[in-house]
Amino acid sequence: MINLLLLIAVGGMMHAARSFTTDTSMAGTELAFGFLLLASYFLAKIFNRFGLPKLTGYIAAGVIAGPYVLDFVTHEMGVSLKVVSTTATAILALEAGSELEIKKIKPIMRTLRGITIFAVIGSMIAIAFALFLMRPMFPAIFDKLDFTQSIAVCFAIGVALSAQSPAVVMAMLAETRAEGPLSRTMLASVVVADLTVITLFSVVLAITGAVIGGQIDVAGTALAVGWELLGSMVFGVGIGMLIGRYLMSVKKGASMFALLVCVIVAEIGARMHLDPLIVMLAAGIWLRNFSKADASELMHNFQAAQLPVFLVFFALAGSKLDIQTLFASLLPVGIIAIVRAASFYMGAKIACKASGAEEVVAKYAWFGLVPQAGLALALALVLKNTFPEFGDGAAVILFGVVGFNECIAPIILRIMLIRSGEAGKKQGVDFAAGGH
Amino acid sequence: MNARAAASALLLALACLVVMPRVTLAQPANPQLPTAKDEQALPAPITQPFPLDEQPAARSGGSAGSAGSAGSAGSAGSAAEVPQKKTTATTKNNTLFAIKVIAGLCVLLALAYLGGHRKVVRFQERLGIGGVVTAGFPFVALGLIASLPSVGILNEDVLSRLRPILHFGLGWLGFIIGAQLDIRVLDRAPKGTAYLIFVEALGPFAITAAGCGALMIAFGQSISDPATWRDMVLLGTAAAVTAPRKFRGFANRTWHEGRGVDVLLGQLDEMVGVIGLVFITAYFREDTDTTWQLPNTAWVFVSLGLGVAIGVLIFAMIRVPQSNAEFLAIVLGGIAFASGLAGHLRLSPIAICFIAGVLVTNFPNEQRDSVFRILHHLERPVHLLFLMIAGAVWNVTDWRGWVLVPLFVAGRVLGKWAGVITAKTAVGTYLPANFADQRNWVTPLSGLSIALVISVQSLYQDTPGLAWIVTAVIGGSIVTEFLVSRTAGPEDMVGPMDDLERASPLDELADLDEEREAPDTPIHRDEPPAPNKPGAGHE
Repeated sequence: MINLLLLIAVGGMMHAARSFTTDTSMAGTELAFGFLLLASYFLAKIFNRFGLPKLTGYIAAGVIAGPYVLDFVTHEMGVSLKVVSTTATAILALEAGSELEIKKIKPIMRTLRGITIFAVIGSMIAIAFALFLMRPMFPAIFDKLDFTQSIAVCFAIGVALSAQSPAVVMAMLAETRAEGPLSRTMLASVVVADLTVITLFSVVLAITGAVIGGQIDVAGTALAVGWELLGSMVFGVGIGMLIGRYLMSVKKGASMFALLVCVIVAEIGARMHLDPLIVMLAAGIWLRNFSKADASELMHNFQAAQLPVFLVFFALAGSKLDIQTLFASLLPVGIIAIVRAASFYMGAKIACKASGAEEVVAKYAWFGLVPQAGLALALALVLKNTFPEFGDGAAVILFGVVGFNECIAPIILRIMLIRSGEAGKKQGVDFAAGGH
Repeated sequence: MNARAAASALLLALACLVVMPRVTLAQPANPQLPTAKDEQALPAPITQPFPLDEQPAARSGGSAGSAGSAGSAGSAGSAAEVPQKKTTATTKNNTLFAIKVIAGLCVLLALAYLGGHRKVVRFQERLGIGGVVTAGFPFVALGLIASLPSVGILNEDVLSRLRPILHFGLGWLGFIIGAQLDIRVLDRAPKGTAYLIFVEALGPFAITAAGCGALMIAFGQSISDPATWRDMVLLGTAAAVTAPRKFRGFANRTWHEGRGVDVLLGQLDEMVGVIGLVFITAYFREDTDTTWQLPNTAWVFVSLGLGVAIGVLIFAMIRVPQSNAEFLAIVLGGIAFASGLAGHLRLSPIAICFIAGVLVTNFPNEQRDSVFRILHHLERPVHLLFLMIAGAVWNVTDWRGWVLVPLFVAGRVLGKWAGVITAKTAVGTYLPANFADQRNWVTPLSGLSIALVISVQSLYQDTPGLAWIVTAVIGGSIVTEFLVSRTAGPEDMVGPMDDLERASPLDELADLDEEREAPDTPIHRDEPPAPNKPGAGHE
């Protein structure tokens, strides 16, 4: 009850403040930051009372407060808070990387390889095929395209739609304090899948451009993809060494230092054509597996100060969700989302059977691939801006499917983690569960 | 090592904040990157799967000649090639520029590290500069250097982007000052204390405002311009706020029996600054397009009401968290929300958060220590960031500001002298010996004074008068602290490094779980409660 009252009080004050002026240039950023932080925190508490994940509460707070519902947090405010989102992604990548212990990953390498091939790449093909069959439902995209172009476009959208969300998986693992073979497989598979999607998206984008525009620059594409992947990894190892050095020589203030490194990497990395996600993943993997520094302490300390960033990160992700558009296109979006989930299910089942994975992994691991958030939205925008011919229509599908998965996936993922028996097995501080 | 870590972290934070906009600005317009409008839809960084400088020019309705994708940049039609070459050249130039900015920031980081180094601070102490402002002067100087046009790191654009951080910092400062005001102290203060504070504040206020105001009018400010009067009130208010001679940080000022009288009076004095801010933001409001049309006096009540409402809200909220991480989120969120509300309504975050802070810690609750712990952890980064921004907005080239400095200092001393004499004459018999007899005429300027000036500057359009005031207050505080060091006994000074060594950076929050298990170690008290000393302020 107290949480609801506090939520209403915060919302009321926000409403009053927003009624003062529509100009958000003055203090709009800190107002939005403070409001999203408090609102998502209390809404998550309420959601949690009903057995729903806190993560859903964070996202729901963003949806309700965002520009498509109450407009407490305007588009401009969201843009000004983008640094929080980018930093959160870098932090999550660092944590995800530091969770990936090569010794523990080695036994599940076959499973990972299988999931990547059958589930991830398989889902790209399945979604592309489904989209091809559903062409009449999307006249804005396919009306002006011939047969070959339609296939290329279907693949471009299919690859973008197959993107996962390590952020959501990390958050749910933290919230449920899950640990075990399933958690490890889920995290590793979603990270590998993300890398695969990033790589293949660049290739498919080039091919689609060639099919529509007439030419292709193979060398340029290879160079670009190589730089982004390898360059990011090398840079990430350097960052990992830097943090490790700091941990060993300075010790105090390490998590603050690492936090600020995340901010720098998130903002500058992208401008240097490096992927912050890969950079910080590589840094985390280096710290965990090759550095002499004790990264576990850093991660433990990290969690104490990161909750505000994540509350705002997921709330902001929710605020981008156009709930009206989602409802308007619910049928096609629902079909694609089901095809996507089904292809992950089938692919993961085949992979697990072929690799002889543990039963719990075979039963639940596929669902780790379902949640979506930032990457898919980013790819949607790249499509939208690269291909005015069909980009707007593609973005509607992508935003719709991402929104659908944002709403549904965390709830099911939480249930699956609890059913798997791995929930609650991890000790220590967690940022989402609000306990120790 | 704490000081090193804190200084490094602060400067890194600054570096991030500075680099982001600069590097962003350094990028060429890229047709394939989302526009500013589109960026709203990005909760995560764009994983741009191709180099920016290989993007084709903007497509025109999907013409056949347009480039296909990132990788097919070379295939763009001839019409697109010229702008592409231009873009590539611009990118190279801008990359060099970005590298220059980053290299400059590294130098800044090294300088900041040296500025906060133990040996440098010890050297400062030997020179007799160890007060609230002079101890952090290297950071003021760094801000100043970084803002020079030839360096160009903290330029106006960057500073405007720093505004959210600045507002948050102002709110944090107001909250921490308010939170340390134990209202029960007011009951224990001897009769006549209120009069003493009033006249000791009124003296410097009136003389400084009148003297400096006259000079500002002589410099060309119009007497009929409300901004002139606002600046006069601001200068007077800044002059009226004093700091205890032993400055141990903003998070360490709760007065209790046994602590110096100047701590108590300094703490109560800060209320004058807050009142001044409420007055300025209510009666000198700029004309803006808003839906609330209220008389000026109503804004005083809006300020008070908002502060109380936020205070009650935060008080209720801090009872909910179950872990330190959650507590951090609530306190940060509460202060950010309060600062945002205040800034959005064109009110001062300091004043609003001060009222909220007073309420939060004076209502009976068990979370007091946890609140202070969070505030304490953030103290040094916020304080030093402040000083750096103060340095960046400081226009040292305008000589008129420097002319105001001696007048400002003299006005304070004269006003304080007048106040002390008046108080001694009027209520001296009521007060314990050390209240009236040991009052100093030369007292350090509170760090809040600089915050007041920065706060007003962030709320109003820049005017020449405000630039002069920044010089007058920063310069005046340094001169005053120099005078204090000349007039003080050795027992009055404190080595700031002692405080720095004790300060804990934010990252040690994780250790608080262990600390929590030891409830007998309240962190907001710097000294153990001392037994009543004779004449220590009890009636």
